[in-house]
Amino acid sequence: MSHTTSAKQLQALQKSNDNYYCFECRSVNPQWASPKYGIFICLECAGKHRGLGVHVSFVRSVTMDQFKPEEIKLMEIGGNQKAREFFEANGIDETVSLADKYHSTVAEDYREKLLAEANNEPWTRRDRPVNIPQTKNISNTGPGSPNLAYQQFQRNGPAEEISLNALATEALSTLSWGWGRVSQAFTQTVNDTTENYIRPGMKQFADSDVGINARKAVEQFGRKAREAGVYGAEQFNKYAVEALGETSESSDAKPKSEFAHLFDGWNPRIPEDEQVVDENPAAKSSEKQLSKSERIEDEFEDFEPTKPTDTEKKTTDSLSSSRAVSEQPETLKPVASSSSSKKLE
Amino acid sequence: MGNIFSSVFQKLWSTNKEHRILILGLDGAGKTTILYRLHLGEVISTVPTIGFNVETLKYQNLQFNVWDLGGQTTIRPYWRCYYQGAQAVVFVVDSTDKDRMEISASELKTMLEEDELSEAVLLVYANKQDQPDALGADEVTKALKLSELKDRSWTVVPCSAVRGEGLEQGMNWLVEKLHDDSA
Repeated sequence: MSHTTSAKQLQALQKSNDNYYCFECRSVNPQWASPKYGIFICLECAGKHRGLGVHVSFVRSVTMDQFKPEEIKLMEIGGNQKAREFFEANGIDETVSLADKYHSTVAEDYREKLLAEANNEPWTRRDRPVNIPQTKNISNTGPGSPNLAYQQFQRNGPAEEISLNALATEALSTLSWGWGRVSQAFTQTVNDTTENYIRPGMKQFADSDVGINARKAVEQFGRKAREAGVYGAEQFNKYAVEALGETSESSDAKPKSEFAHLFDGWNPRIPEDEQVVDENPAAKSSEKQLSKSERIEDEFEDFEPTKPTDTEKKTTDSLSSSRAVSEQPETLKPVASSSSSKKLE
Repeated sequence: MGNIFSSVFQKLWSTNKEHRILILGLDGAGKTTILYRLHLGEVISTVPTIGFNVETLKYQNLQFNVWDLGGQTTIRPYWRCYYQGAQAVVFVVDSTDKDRMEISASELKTMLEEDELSEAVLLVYANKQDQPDALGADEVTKALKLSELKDRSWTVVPCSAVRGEGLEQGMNWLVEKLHDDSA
């Protein structure tokens, strides 16, 4: 089976019903799959699945990998909904961590069941007690993980069209957008996020905190890229000065190089109001999050009248997302809380 | 993300001589985890690499410019775009992935046939040794048919990127070989 045929088949499958949402986190348009379970998953969850080991979950990219015919078959007869129903019927709900879920006998049963179905063989559950391990979840790829900004950007930004079309046909593009494409696209994406992504989905966004996270993520990314820009400018100036024998003490002296002035007119510093350092996010979070959810309602009220019962739920959602944010590494933490609240004002 | 940008800037504007190293291998072998374990000294949660990661590492007194390229099936043919000037290839193998050992071997073979890599030394990391069913260094050597290699400095080092075991041993070998070459 040629790569393009399998990719087309998979993309058609991926668009059907529940497959359009990541099996694990329900983010839209998942581009990865675990054929052993016949499920579609997002990039971030693909990372987690890979950590389980190939014997537990073997992860494939819909656009960048070739599926074997038997893997396509598993995807066809499987699907997110079927897997979810099986897991739920056997006592695995969303509170079970990813590692525990896939190291359980239930997951093994489902792998065997799906494989038997694919081979048109009868399946009977192995005679053994159901075992769902209960290890403490130590995964640090929660909603505050350092990679989230990048992944959200990939999911929501221009990467979506890249992954669907360009990646399938012109894989070279994936290797060249290490930085050029990203830097060119990020500014636009920050704008597009509100224009194209958040507004059409306003209703759903009002009901969940995914929207807040996504926006936060894109802003974080924008900020990161800007910081990189600052760094680049500094490095360049340093280089230009050093290359001409200027020492750092003679900074008042006029650099001889014309290049040293290249970034003179440009002030890449992050504006004062964004440099709020949140000393104690935990203490403030309650108040801050509450006012944030009020602001969200204000912003959304044109689209969807807010039901009072939702308010309480939303506040708790926001609070839990705030906890996730405070678990982030130091460098990301203040950015996330300050820029998101700024944006929502 | 910032690290990638800053490394690119460093690469562009650094006057120091650097050794160019490629980290290659099948998807999910642990290339990115190894790169960042070496760079940051800690295990990060990775997602499949779309494109590449590049970092500048200082190890002992050498400076390395390390490229970690994505390993998905259809982007492997583009590894060759990065071969030129590479002094070493770090080939990472998932030692638990017995089913794909053969594919790994053929990717390695194809790569080493390239003229641009004729001088490059080869360090194979037999990764994921923390897993109970991992193949040992000898079995990986056999599966990759490394004994058939001619005119090439190579070694296989068993390692566990998540535990940080074996990585240093591999890097020491690399430093030694690169010293020999430049001497």
